[in-house]
Amino acid sequence: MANAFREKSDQTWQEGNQCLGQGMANSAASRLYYAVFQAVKGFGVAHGDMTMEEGDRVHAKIIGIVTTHGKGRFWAREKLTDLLGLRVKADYTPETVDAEELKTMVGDADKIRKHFIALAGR
Amino acid sequence: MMEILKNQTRDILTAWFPSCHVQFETLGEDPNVIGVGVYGVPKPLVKWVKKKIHELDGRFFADAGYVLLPLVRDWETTCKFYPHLVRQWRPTAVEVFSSTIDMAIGDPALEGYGPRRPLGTWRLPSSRSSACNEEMALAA
Repeated sequence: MANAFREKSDQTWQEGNQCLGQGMANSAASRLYYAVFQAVKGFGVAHGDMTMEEGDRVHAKIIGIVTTHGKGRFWAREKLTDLLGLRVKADYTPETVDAEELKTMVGDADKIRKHFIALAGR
Repeated sequence: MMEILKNQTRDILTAWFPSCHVQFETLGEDPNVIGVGVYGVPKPLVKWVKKKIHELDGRFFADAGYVLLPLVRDWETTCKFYPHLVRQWRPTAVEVFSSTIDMAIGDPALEGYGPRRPLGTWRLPSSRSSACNEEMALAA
């Protein structure tokens, strides 16, 4: 089964990068994290690790899937956890996301995203 | 069981970073993601503190379906947004880390904490004898 979130993840990823390019670091952190989230969820659903409707404890579940199926088990876990950390800062805390810090995470996040899109299609 | 593990984790982090405020934070949307707030960290050490939290996460939480989420704030961010969590002194690298952490001179995490000019250029403000005399006078 192909990754049902492929197109949506691509779109979300583009939106995230547009936000980052326009200096909207908080929105960018949220969009970029969810682009990876969607790619991993698409794989998780295709692989039977989670359901399409699943909404309970999903972030821990997504990071668990990345840990199990990601390249370099803890490498991918750490990278996605750090991105989630920025998304939490963007949405829940008074401080603003540091755009420069976010930029250093973009390359690795895209690697994880593309890995799970490809993995679901196999 | 998870509460015991969390308490032990907090004890470890408090021992590692004795001059920083450490607390768990609930995100509200996923109880299995445990935010670990560490406040008042010198900026050059933020990445390193995150790395230590990741190590604890991989060792104790990953297989249990939980995630430790590092939420590390540097000194300036803590002062600006979380003044109630500021300790009374500004921590130095030595105070942030206890001796239980492996860290060597030259570690990138300590960059910026060495002497800022060549050692040969350091001078006492006045001669040793005059400084001693001053101290003695003050002591008397």
